[in-house]
Amino acid sequence: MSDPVGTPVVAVALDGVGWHPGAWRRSPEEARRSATAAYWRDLVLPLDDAGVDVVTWEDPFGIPGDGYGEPAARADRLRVAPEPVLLASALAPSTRRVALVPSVVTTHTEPFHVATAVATLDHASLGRAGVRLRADATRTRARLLGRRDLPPLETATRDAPLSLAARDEVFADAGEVAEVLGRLWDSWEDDAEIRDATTGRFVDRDRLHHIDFVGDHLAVKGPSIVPRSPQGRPPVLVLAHDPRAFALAAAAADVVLVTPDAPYPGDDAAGSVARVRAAEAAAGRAEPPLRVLGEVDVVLGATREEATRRLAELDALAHPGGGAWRSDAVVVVGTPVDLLARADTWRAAGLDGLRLRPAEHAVDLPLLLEHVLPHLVDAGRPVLTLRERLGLERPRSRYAAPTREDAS
Amino acid sequence: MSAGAERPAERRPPGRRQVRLGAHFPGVNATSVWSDPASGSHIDFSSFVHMARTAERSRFDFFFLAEGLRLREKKGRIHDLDVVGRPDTLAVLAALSAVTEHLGLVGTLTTTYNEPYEVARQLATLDHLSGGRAGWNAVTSPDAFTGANFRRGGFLDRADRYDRAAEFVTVVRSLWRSWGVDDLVADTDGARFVRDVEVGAFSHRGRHFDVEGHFPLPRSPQVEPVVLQAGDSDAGRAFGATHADGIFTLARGLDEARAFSADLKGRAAAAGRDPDHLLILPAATFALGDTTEEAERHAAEVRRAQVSGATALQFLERFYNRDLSGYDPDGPLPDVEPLPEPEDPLLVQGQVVPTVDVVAQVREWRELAAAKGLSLRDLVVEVSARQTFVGTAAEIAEQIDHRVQTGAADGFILVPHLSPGGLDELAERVVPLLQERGSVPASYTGRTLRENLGLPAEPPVRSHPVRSHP
Ligand SMILES: Cc1cc2nc3c(=O)[nH]c(=O)nc-3n(C[C@H](O)[C@H](O)[C@H](O)COP(=O)(O)O)c2cc1C
Repeated sequence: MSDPVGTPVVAVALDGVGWHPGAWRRSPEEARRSATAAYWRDLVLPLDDAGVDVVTWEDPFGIPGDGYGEPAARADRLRVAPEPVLLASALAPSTRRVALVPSVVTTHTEPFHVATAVATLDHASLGRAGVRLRADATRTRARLLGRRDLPPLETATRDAPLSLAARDEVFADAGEVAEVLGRLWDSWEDDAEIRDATTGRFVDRDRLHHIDFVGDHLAVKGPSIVPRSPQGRPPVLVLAHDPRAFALAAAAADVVLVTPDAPYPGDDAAGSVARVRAAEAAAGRAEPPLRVLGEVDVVLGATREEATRRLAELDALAHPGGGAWRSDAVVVVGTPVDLLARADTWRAAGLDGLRLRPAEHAVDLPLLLEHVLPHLVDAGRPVLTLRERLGLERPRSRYAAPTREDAS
Repeated sequence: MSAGAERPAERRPPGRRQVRLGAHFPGVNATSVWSDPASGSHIDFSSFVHMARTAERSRFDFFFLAEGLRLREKKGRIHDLDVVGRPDTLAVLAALSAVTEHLGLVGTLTTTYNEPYEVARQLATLDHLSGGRAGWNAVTSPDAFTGANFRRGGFLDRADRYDRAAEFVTVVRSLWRSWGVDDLVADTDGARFVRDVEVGAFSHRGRHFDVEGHFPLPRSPQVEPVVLQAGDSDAGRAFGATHADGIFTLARGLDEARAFSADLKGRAAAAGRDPDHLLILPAATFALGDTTEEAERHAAEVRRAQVSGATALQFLERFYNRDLSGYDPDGPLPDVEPLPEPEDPLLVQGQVVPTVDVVAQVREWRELAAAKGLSLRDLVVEVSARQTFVGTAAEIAEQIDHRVQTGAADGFILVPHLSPGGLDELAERVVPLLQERGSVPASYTGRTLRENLGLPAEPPVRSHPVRSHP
C-alpha cells in the first residue's frame, strides 16, 4: 500500500518495570519506585531525546494480571498500577517531541471524564496526546467499582457463552464511548472563544454544541467543558486480537495495534494488514485508513544465546514451577539486528510501524536506545503533533458549518 | 534585607496562629475579568504554570482548582457572558506536579459522578507523582442537569448527596490505607513483591457501594491526601466536620465568619476530633493599591468590569425568576415583581439558587437604588460580591492576619480576578509581610502538604467499614 507516514512510526510501550512478569525480580528498587515521577522521567526523557514517536502506558486498572482472563492476586507479582492518564500528564511538561498515549479502560470509566482529561493532556503537551481504548470483560475489575455486573471470564474455552455475551457487551459499550469522545472533542469549534467586549460575550455559543448522544449503553448531553485541543481530536489507538476489536478500530480509531502470527496462526504481516482492510470495508470507514502498527515484545542480547538465556531466567523467576511467558504479541528473542530485520519484513509487508514492548525496562530499553532506535527513528526530527507524525490532517469539527469548499 | 528567606520557622511568636494560603486558579466564576487586556488564557498550560510558580515562590500551601462538569445554560443555551471552559482538574494537577516542588495540588472532584475506586487510585497516583502534595476538595453536585453528561444520569436524590459523599470518602480512605507500612517488600530472594497475597484487599458493602478487590498502589507519601469539603448547608457542615481536613467556604463578615468557624470546630470536637485539625479556609478576593484610596478605586473598577450590563441583568434574573433580557441595564430596576419560582425551569441552570426571600430582597434593592440614584447595573455592582480584602499591602496583611488570629478562619483560598498574573502582586507584596509577622513560615518546612498545613502526618484511622487485613 501507499506510505502514508514516511518513516516507520515507532512506539515504545512502557508497563511497570517491563512486560515480563518476572522483570521486577531483577529490578526490585525500580519496582518499589514505579509510581514516582522520577522513575518515569528517567525512562521517558531518553526516549524523547532519541526521537521516538510515541510512548504508551498500559492500564491493568486493578492489580496487573499475567495475560488473558481474570487477574489472580499473587504475592510474587508487581502490584503497582498508577493511573496512566495522570502519568502521561506528569510527563507532558518535561518532554518535547514524544507523543504521550495512556490506555483507558472504557468499560469502567466515564467517557466525559476521559474526553476532558485527554483533551487536557493535548493542551498541556501542545498536541502530543493520544489515547488507547481498551474494553475489559473481567468480573474482577468490574467488582472494583461495583457498578456493572459481569460474570467471571471463562478462560478454559474462549468462546464460553457467558464470556461471549460479556465481550459483546463491553465492546458495544466501547464503541459508544469512542463515538462520545469524538463528539465531545468536536463540541467546541476551534474559534468558539471570541472575547467580544462590545457585546460582553466570552464565547460564541453558536459554536458550542450539545452532542446529544443516546446509545444503548450510555447517553451524554455535552458539550465538553474543555475548548478544542491543539489536535482537534487526539488520535485513538485500539489493540486488536478479537474480531470485535478489529471492528471497533475500523469504526472509531486512527491507529490499530496488531500481532502478526500470534492470534491467527497463518496470518503473517500482510495477512494482518488484509484483516484490517477487511474490517475497514465492513465498517464502511470514511476516515483515512488505519495506521497499522505491529506489536512486538523484545528480549534483547548481544547474541541470540544471551537473549535466550535472559528469557529463560526471567521465565524461571516468574514461573518457578515451570512455564513460559504467555505473551499476546510476537516475542523477538535475539539481537538488535534480529529485531531490525523483523521491522524490515513488517515494513515491506505494509505495516506502518511497530510498538516495542521491552521485557525488562532496565535492560531492554538501554539496548534499544543504543542499538535499535538509532536505525529506526530520526533523532533530529522536528516537533510534530501526533496527528502530523501519523500523516493525519487536523479534522474540522463535525459541527462546524460547511465551508464553501465543502459545498462545491 | 530580603523578605526573610532565612528566617527560621521557629521565630513565630508563641500562640500565634499560622495563616494557611491557597491559590485559586481563576476561571469559570463571576470573579474573573476576561475583558481586561491583561487577561490571558484560562486553558493554556502556561497560565497554570505561571500561577503555580508565583504561589510556590511565595510559599502558598497549595494551588486550587474548582470543577464544573456542565457548562452553565440559560433557556437551553450556553451562558456566554463569563469565562466558559476549563481543563480537566486531575490532568492539570498531574502536569503541575512536574513543574513545582513543594506546592500542594488540590482539586475539586464530585462524589456524585465518580466512583470511590477511581478517585482513590487517581489521588494516590497524584500523591506518589508529586511526592505527597495531593489534595481533594470533595463536592456533592446532585443535579440532573450535570448528570446528563454521565452514565447514570441524575440518579441521586438531593437529600442523599451527603450520605453518598460520606460513604464515598470512607471507602476512598480505606483504600488509601489498604497497604500497611511494611507491605511492599520487593523481596527478590523470597519471591514476594508484597508481604502476602491479601495486601491491598478491600471489601465493602453499603447503601451506595458494593465493591471488592485489591488496591494496586502502595501507601502514598501522605497515606491520606488532604480532603477539603465545600457546601455550607447543615448536612454539608456535618459531613465536613466529620470527614474533612478543611472546609472551603464563602467569605463572610467578621462576626459571621467567627460564628461559622466556631460552629464547624465545635462539630469536629463533638465528633471526637482535634478542632485544630479542621482548617476553615474561606475563598477571598482582593484589591491591592499603593494607598488606601488607590485600592478602593481599583476595587470599584474591578467590580464594574466584573458586572457588565448583560451580567447585571442575569444576576437579577436569579432573584426575579423572570427573563429580564428586555431591560436596559443603565435604566432603573425592572418594575415587575419577582416570582417565587422561575417562570421557566430552564431560566438558569448550573448556577447557585438564592435561598433568600426574593420579594423582600428586591424591595430592599429598590429602596437602595432610589436612595443612591443607582441604575440597574450600578445597583448590581454595589450589592454583588465586594472584594474580601481591599487596601495597601500592609492593610491586607493586617486584615488577613487579624481574621486568623481572632479565630474567624485558619487561612484563605485567594481568588484573583485575572489569569495568569492576578496573584503576582499579592504574592510578592503581602505574603512577605505575613512572614515578617511570623504568621506564614519563611519556607516550606514540611515534606508533604499535610505537614505544611500543620495536619497530623499520620492521620488517625477513622471509621472503618472495610475489611482491614492483619
Ligand atoms: C466555597 C464553595 C465552593 C464550591 N466549589 C464547587 C466546585 O468547584 N464544583 C462543584 O461542583 N461544586 C462546588 N461547590 C458546591 C458544593 O459542593 C455543593 O454541591 C453545594 O454547595 C450544595 O451543597 P450544600 O447544600 O451543602 O451547600 C462549592 C461550594 C462552596 C460553598
